[in-house]
Order: sequence, then structure tokens, then C-alpha cells
Amino acid sequence: MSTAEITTGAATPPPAPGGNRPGGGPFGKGTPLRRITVAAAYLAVVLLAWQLYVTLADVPSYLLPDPLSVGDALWRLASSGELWPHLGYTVRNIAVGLGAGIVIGSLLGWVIASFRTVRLILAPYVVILQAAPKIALAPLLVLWFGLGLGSQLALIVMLAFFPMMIAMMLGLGEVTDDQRALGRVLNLGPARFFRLVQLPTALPALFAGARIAVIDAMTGAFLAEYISAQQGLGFLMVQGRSTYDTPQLIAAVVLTVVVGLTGFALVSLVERRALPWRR
Amino acid sequence: MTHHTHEDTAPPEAAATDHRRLLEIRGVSKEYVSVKGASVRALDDVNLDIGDGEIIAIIGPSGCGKSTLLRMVAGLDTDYEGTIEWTRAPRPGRDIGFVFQEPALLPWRTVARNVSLGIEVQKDRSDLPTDRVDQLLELVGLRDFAKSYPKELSGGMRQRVAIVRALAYDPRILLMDEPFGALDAITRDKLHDDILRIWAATRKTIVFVTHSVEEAAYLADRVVVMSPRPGRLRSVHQVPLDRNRDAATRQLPVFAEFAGMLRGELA
Ligand SMILES: Nc1ncnc2c1ncn2[C@@H]1O[C@H](COP(=O)(O)OP(=O)(O)OP(=O)(O)O)[C@@H](O)[C@H]1O
Ligand SMILES: [Mg+2]
Repeated sequence: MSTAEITTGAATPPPAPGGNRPGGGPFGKGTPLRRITVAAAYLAVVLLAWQLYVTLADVPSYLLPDPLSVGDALWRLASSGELWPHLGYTVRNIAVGLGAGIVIGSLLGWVIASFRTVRLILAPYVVILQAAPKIALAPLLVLWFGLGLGSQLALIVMLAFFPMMIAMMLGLGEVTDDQRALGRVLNLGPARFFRLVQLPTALPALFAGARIAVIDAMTGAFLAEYISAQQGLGFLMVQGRSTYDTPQLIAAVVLTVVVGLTGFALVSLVERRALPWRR
Repeated sequence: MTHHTHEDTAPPEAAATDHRRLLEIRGVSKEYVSVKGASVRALDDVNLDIGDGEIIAIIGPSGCGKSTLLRMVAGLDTDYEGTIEWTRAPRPGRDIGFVFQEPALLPWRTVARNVSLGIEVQKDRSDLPTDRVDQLLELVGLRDFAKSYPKELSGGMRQRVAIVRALAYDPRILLMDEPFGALDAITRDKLHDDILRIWAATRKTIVFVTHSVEEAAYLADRVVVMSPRPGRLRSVHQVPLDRNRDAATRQLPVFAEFAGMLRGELA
């Protein structure tokens, strides 16, 4: 079982900053009803294939349980009330970590894009950090921040700030020379130029970054819980594994993906609202 | 008025208005250093006086430094040799309206909000009528598009928005880089007359770049002809017409003759 595999799978739609239009969504365009139908049909096909495979290949349930028993495990967790504190814990951590990651990443991206000296000092670290498998740093974080909430949030922030930083740098780069000249003709100071020109220009890229950051935050939360937590969806997975309750293990993974996709959908929704001029 | 010109075809009686000097461009040269390190001399020893309330057209082959010169006058490019001195310095953010060669609209703002930008960012412009933006959009025939976004407009429509955006805050000096290039003949003629009407009402100083000798002859008091590589002032011509210009002006023999002479200068 590898969390990386699951999350890279979920993170596959990496919207190219600037290029991708909001509203495309993973299930294409159309009326909401139509899109939901398409999504549901897609899900049904996947579940059916899964069920068929398990039945036909006669896979033992401790290796891969069939969808029904996973559903059963989900229902058990939900109806016993055991699920909610775990779900709430993970969602809260994702929200807090993502929020901090967005703020820190955007600020850092702005500083790097705006100040030459900072860029010269930080650029090598940016490249190294980009190349490093950030997940491999998780044990190091546990070492630094202990086994508690601190290291968990640190991991989430570390994963989430990065796409935001890159997005801000790319987004600010989209300001044209003419727009800069316009700012000077109108005598906009740096603050007003940022608010009136730079930020709106960077916004599409920032939203694209946020969509990736949501998924990365989910990876971080799950991974952190997997390593160290006593609570959360990652913990449910660990618990499922150690009690040989594979359906619970899969249920926890499925829930995490659902949380990630919900976050993704929320960002897309806000994006559609915030960027009417891009439709 | 001092003319630093090689030839000046202006008959003295043709000088329609006498302008106090607003701007003195002395010995201005500009060298661009390209990405690869080679240097390009874009302007070479440019001397020009611009009078207050004067309309100046700049013509010349592509790449001769017209945009560069205009940007210097606007204070957008301060890296040059020589001096550009104002008799009365323009107040930052208020006195200069600039129409860029590309429309350079803000895509997230509607047409109306693009036009109002310059008014919004100034402290107190209660001197301007509240329906200023509507009036200007009416002027360029875009009132129905006030709530549209720039990407929903054609190239020529965007350029018209860019023109009225520069006019919106009623700047004293209007600098325009090929403002009418993307427009059809009818719209262009109408805008020419609108600009002349605005000039008659406000006596703005207008400097514009164009590739059309007819446009230069129709609008300007003086036409500056530039030569390429390195960009120099080849000549400055006083337009032999009085300020009252209308459709009939274009039919005058002297108009055709002057335009033909300019065309010859460019060749
Ligand atoms: N940012 C720049 N870096 C380097 N060289 C430049 C730059 N901008 C302009 N140049 C060079 O300076 C010269 C003059 O450019 P400019 O844009 O002023 O020409 P122009 O007369 O406005 O031409 P056009 O009619 O095509 O708009 C050109 O040869 C161009 O190669
Ligand atoms: Mg030009």
C-alpha cells in the first residue's frame, strides 16, 4: 500500500497556470445535472469493474475486498459514530495547513518575484526543494516537531505552500510591459499596482496552484497521520491494517480521496465565482 | 518657435496657432542593449520642441524609434542621453494620457471599469461629470458594451476602449502610439473628428505616432518625419492648413500635395 500512489493518481489534473480555463472540471462541461450523471456513471463503471475483477479472479478479501464490503465498512464507521472525529480531524488539519500554505506560498512567491536579491539568495533552495521528494522529509519533520500536531501541520504546509509559491511567481510574470507602463502613467504606487494589476493578473495562476495545493495538503495530512497520529483518516487506515481489516483500510483511503476531491471542487467553485472574465 | 530641422516647408502664414513652448527635447539618444549583449542605437541626437496645445504627428518606417521617443516623453523610459525638459512639468498620474500600441486593457475589468480606471485612482475628480464614462463610450460607439469584458471585443473595439481610457481623466497631454491603426476607415475618420473636437474644446497637447500620411496631415499642426537606423529626425513640417478641418479638407489640393510630399519623404 502506498499513499503516494493514491495521491498522485488524484492529483493528475495539474492545470497549467494560465492555460486552463475554470469550469472544465474533471468531468467536462455541460449542465450540472448532466455532469453529475456522467460522474455517477463513471463511478458505477469503476465499481462494477472492481467487483467483477474480485469475483472473477477470486481475490482473497484480505488483499482486495470487494466494493460492497468496503461500503459496509464505511457504513459501520459512520453509523457507530467512530468516523466523524477522525474525518473532522483530518479535514480541519487540511484546512488549517492549506490556509497557512496558501498564505506562506503566495507571500514567498511574491517576495521572490519582486526582489532580485531575494531571488538570487532563495532560487537555489527553491530548485533543490522542487527536486527533493518532499514526502521523504516527513520523518525529519517528526524528528524536529515531535509526534504531535506540530509535525503534521508542518508537513501539510510544506507540501501545500510549494505550488502556491510557483503559481505566484508565474502569475506575477504574466504582467505585461504595457500594463506596467500604464501603472506608471497613472502613477500607481507599489501597493496600488499590486492590488489593481499584479494580483488580478496572478489570480488565475493562483487558483490553478490552489487546486494542486489542495491535493498536496490532502497527501500531507494523510501521510502525517499515517506516520504519527492517534486520530484522523490516516490513523483509521493504520488501524485497519494492523487489525487485518482491509475493508476499513480501503474505506479510509477512499474517504481521503473524497475529501481531496471535495476540496478540489470547492476551489474550482470559488474560482468560477472569482474569475467571471475567464469564462 | 525653434525648429531643429533639415528642411522646413512651412510657409509662415500657414502657422495656424502660436504655441508657448511646453517641452524641449535636446540631443536625445538611446541605445538598447539586446538580450545577447549587442547594442542597438534606437535614437540618435533627436532635437524637438513641442508647443503647449500643439498637435504633433510622428511618422517613419517601422523600427525607427517612434514608440521609444513617445515613451520617453511620457516618462516611461528615463534611460537615455540628452535632456527632455518641461516648461510646466506634468503632474504624475494626472496630466498624461497614453494610448499604447497594443490596447493593454485589464482583462478582468469590464469595458466601463477599464475606462474609469484613471479616474478611480485619482484623489478628487468631482470636476468630471458622473456620466463621463458613458459619454466617452458613446463617443466611440461602445455604450452597449460597457459591461462586456475586453476578450469579448474585437481588436478595433479594444483599441477604441484604450483611446477613451486615456481621455477619461482629461489629461493635459495626450500621447498616442498608432491609436487608429486597427480601425476601419469610417470609424477612423469619425475618431479623427472627435479628437479634433476634443482638442478644440480642451486645447490638449497631442503627440501621436502614425503610419498614415493622410492621418498625420489631417490631424497635426506639425509632422515629424523620422529616418531609420539610427532613428533621427529627418525633417519637421508645418501642415499648410488652418485648424478648421473637416471632410472637405481632405479634398483640398494642398492637402493632397502635402500628403504626397510626406509620402515622398518616407520612401
Ligand atoms: N526593449 C527593447 N530592447 C531592445 N531593443 C529594443 C527594445 N524596444 C525597441 N528596441 C529597438 O529599438 C528600435 C526602435 O523601436 P521602436 O519600438 O521605438 O520602433 P517604432 O518606430 O515604434 O516601430 P513600429 O512602427 O514598428 O512600432 C527597434 O530597432 C527595436 O529593435
Ligand atoms: Mg512603435
